[in-house]
Amino acid sequence: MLEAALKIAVFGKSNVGKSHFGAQLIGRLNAESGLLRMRGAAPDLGAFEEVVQSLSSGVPGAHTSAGTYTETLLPVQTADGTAIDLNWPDYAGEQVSQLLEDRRVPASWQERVEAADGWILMVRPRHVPLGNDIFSKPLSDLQASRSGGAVECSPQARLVELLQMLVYTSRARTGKRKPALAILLSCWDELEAPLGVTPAAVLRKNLPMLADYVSNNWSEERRIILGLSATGVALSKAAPNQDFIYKGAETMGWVVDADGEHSPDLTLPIAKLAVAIQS
Amino acid sequence: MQQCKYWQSSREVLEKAAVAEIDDSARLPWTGNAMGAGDIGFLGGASRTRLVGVFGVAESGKTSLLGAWYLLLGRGIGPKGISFAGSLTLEGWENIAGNLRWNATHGPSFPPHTSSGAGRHPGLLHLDLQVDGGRHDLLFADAPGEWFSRWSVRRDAEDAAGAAWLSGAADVLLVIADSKELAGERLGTARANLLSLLRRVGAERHGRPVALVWTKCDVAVGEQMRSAVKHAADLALGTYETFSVSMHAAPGQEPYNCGQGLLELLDWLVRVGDVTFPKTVLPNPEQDLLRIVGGVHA
Repeated sequence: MLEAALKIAVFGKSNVGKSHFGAQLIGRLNAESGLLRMRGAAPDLGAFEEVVQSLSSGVPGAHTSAGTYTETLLPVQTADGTAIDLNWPDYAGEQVSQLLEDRRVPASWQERVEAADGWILMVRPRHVPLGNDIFSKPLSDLQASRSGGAVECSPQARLVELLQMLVYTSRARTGKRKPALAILLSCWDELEAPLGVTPAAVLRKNLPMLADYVSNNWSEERRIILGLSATGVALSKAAPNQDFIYKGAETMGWVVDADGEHSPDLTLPIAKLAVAIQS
Repeated sequence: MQQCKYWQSSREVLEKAAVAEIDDSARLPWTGNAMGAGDIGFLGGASRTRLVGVFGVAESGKTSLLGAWYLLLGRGIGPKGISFAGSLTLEGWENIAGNLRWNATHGPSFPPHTSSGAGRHPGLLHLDLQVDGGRHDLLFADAPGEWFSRWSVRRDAEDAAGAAWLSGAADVLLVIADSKELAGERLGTARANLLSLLRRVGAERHGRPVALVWTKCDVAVGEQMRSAVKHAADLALGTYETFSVSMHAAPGQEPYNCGQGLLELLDWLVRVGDVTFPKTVLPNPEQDLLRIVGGVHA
């Protein structure tokens, strides 16, 4: 049994599906079908109300506005009775981009990062392409440098820098143990990956430098890499999904476990992260 | 996609700085860009940090060599047992490697010429590498070639202070032989310049590991010239290693390639003289990294 409530912080840039995962997680907890169960009712689920309503109507939720930061307390427990207070934050992904641009960590973020025992970093592989370079797509006749062109940082370098910032921030003042890490590869359905492909293999193929950084800085017990499709299919405002309307959003979506197996239990990443935190 | 901060206009940076002054946010102790003299106070204290000096005249491929290593590590390609574990200068690496990538409108091109400016220290690019069971911090000096041309001729020249600093501080020295120049129209001048650089490095190395690195090795250099350079290196350096590198694949190599000789050279410079590095496995390697940037109670 944990003495203090377990705190988990969720990070991810814009459009990785943080709000949809949060809303679907609440649906699963209410349906009592997964590894985690609610301990009573959550005090306030207002932050996810809009997304929950949209999903019930078979359409995607609205983008979280840039200034938003709310935390929803989800009192849950694991199958063996370990009580966890899950602080599920909801904020716009632009705040993460802002951190990288400004290289300053606002005091509010500092507190959240310091308090967390475990981090979930949501990454949408289709939105962070590796791209080609002189090695993957050779060019026999290299020219002199392009003048005046801006050089864009590669997406995986930005993700590594984000983790480096978080590691520094979490420990700069406290010196406490580095939080356990869950990398959640979101919108897995977009990848059209064959069944059995493991999330670790997708991470290594799509973001090899990030994969190396994670495996060299978190021990095997303290890191997990999973896939997620919070809604199972792409939703469109123009054509509401009938399955969401008739079967219910709580029956949609799945997680890809470390061995590549699909599971409808969207609480699985949290349950596994809880184990990693306690290892 | 946001642009690197490095490329923001100075006005944008100033405006953001002005706003930041009044809030209670915490500034991170590293900028992501190449480090300067003010950032390297830890060099003497961090026993596992290794400074790699790349000595070569302008346009000889020093920056491209660094960019190539970064791109390979970014693809998860490294020497056996060596992989990326972090960097305090990711933006700096991206700025030199970005030119070697394809983008929406361009194919790869050479990185821009490293400006000599008025600096007295080279820009330093940091890599934290996992090497078998331990960790190595490496700093790579990305210095303008003009410094080395001046330094070859006059060790204490005012405008060669950066080269002199690097020759004193580097743990591993790479001397660049530019295959293209040594096979080109001005090969006589290129040979003379390389020989004087070799002599200078030979006089200043003080027992440190040195490698002679033939860059752009896809360009064939005449046997007579190759022998002349080798003879000069034998005389000036005595003991040294020789590597031939190129970003272009060797004939018959798969299109998805790792160039030629790049991984072998990286492996050598990481492992050479390894006795100076701690052999024990670090339980929390990032603590050392954080100690480097300061202010951390590890």
